[in-house]
Amino acid sequence: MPNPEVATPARAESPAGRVRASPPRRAPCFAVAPGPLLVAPAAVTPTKALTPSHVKGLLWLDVLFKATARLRATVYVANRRALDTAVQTAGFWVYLDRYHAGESYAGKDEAWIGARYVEFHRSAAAPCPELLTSYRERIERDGWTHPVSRRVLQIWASYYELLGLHDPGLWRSEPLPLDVAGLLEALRDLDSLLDLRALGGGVYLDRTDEGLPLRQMIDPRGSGNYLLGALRELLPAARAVGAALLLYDDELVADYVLLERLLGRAGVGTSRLSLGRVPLENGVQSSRNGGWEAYTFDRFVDRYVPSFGREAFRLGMRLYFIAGLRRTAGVPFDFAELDRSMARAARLLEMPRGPDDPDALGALLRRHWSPAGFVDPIRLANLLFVRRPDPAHLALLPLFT
Amino acid sequence: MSDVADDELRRLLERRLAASGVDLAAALAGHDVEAGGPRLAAVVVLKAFDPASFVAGTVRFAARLPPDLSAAWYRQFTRTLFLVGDPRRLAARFRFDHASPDGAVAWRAPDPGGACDPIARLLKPLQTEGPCRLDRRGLLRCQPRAPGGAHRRLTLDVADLPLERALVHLNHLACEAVIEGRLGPDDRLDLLDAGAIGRPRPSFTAVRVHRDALAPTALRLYGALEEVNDA
Repeated sequence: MPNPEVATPARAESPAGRVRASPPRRAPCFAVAPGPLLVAPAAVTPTKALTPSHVKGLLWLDVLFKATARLRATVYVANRRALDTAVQTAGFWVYLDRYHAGESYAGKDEAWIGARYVEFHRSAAAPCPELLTSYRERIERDGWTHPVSRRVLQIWASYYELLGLHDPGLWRSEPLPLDVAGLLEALRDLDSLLDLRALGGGVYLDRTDEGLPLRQMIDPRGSGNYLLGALRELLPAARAVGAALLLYDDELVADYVLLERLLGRAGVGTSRLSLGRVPLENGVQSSRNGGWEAYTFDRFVDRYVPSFGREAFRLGMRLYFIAGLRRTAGVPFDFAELDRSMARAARLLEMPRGPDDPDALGALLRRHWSPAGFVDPIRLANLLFVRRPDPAHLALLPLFT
Repeated sequence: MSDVADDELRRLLERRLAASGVDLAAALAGHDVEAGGPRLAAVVVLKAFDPASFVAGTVRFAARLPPDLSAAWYRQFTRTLFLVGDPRRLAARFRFDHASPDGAVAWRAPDPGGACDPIARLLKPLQTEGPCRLDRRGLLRCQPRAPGGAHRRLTLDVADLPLERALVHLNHLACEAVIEGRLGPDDRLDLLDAGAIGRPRPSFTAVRVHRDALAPTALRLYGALEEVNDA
């Protein structure tokens, strides 16, 4: 299946505003109606402030989902259980209970919580292994969520609402469909497992015969990394649906190429869409290193919602984070550009448009169908992110607001 | 260990270091000792570990190296990377110089020019948790005697180490004994996981002496090779 990373036309990546929209093409005729698609985004752990890179991922995912769902049945993977058992979440909870015991999180904002997350990574003190294991067992068994992450999810839920994001289950935490033994058995059946536990070693995902680097999934102490949780959810879910799209941060590309191959061996038609992180003033950074403090979501809200209103905010954010920042990590974040996107959004919303016409929208989306089996958000955003948009393209606005 | 025994170990280590032109004092100071010439490293890829098969494979691998390369590698302290991997999966992309009959372990000779082995980019260093408990069954026959061969015993004191560290000592001892001409594929070879070996004995034909993992200022006899008199 073609890879959207290469299939995306160069034109769609040109600086927005300086290009014309792609010339209209004939709508592809689906020889057979496409079957359902499972969209599996690399989710954000609820341990930190949403940074522009996270916002970009959420907005891309939202437009991709809403547009693709018009043409084929589309479902998300949404289950926090795997994410919460990951060391970066459970380890952070252990850290807080050790160094901030008795803290009340109810009134804390993202900046405070994000600063503790940076502090946790700077402390470089590995969480006590026994304690970490007991936290992970409790999360796995009961779906327990630490108050700090309940607070983060509460804040994020308000952002989702404000942005009009489709929420497949921000709070959903359900038992993972495969246990560890079941996953290892499935990977063995896929001839993709290297298990050195008999030697006191770890467990590895092995597609080295295809030239992919060996990847550890369980360390010699028996502790699994995020791939273990992800696969316990993803492998059965993708098998049940039959087709999957993996959406992830560029820096995880090696892992996601591996996941794509594993799912492919399991008979799942799989494609990938990688997004570059948004460079801030210090370049591309992980949240754990800080540097995001001046770009938290509440600043966007304070700066734009009162003056532009909620609908223009939703549209302006989508135009900027999709067409303005583009797929790769090449364009640094710039408030002046976001200001212009908001003004552009306000103008678009003032343009006269007819009643919503699902047939016209469907035909428009079919023209921007990616051969990889989804509607590429940047191609839609580019239609709106031009000086004089074609009035016919205003039919896309419900997907962007 | 007594001072006398420690002196003996120092002398044995000094002799080995001198063969590579390295000063004992520098080595004991904890510096990473570097012999001159291109940096040579063999690679062992393993997905399982069977002590007898590993030792027999090591002896065969070392015995088959071209003499110039084995001499240069010896001067470089028979440096070896132990990597996790499944040799059978890798066979289409990488040529191995030797493999164990069950395909669980495979060896690649050092690049004579000192280039880093590209296989290392694909695999991960062996890393294990807990003591390796090499073998608890007593004397373990690694290879049978062939015509012209002798009967030798390899005694190891590595059971308290994680496997990746134990293999370093075992590998150096076996490879260097082969290159020195003190061990060959035709010899019957028995492996003994002994716990402490005690003092060096005159019957030892090759030894592995290094800093003690538990007491870094002391030296430890990690392994020894000796001939067994069957008469």
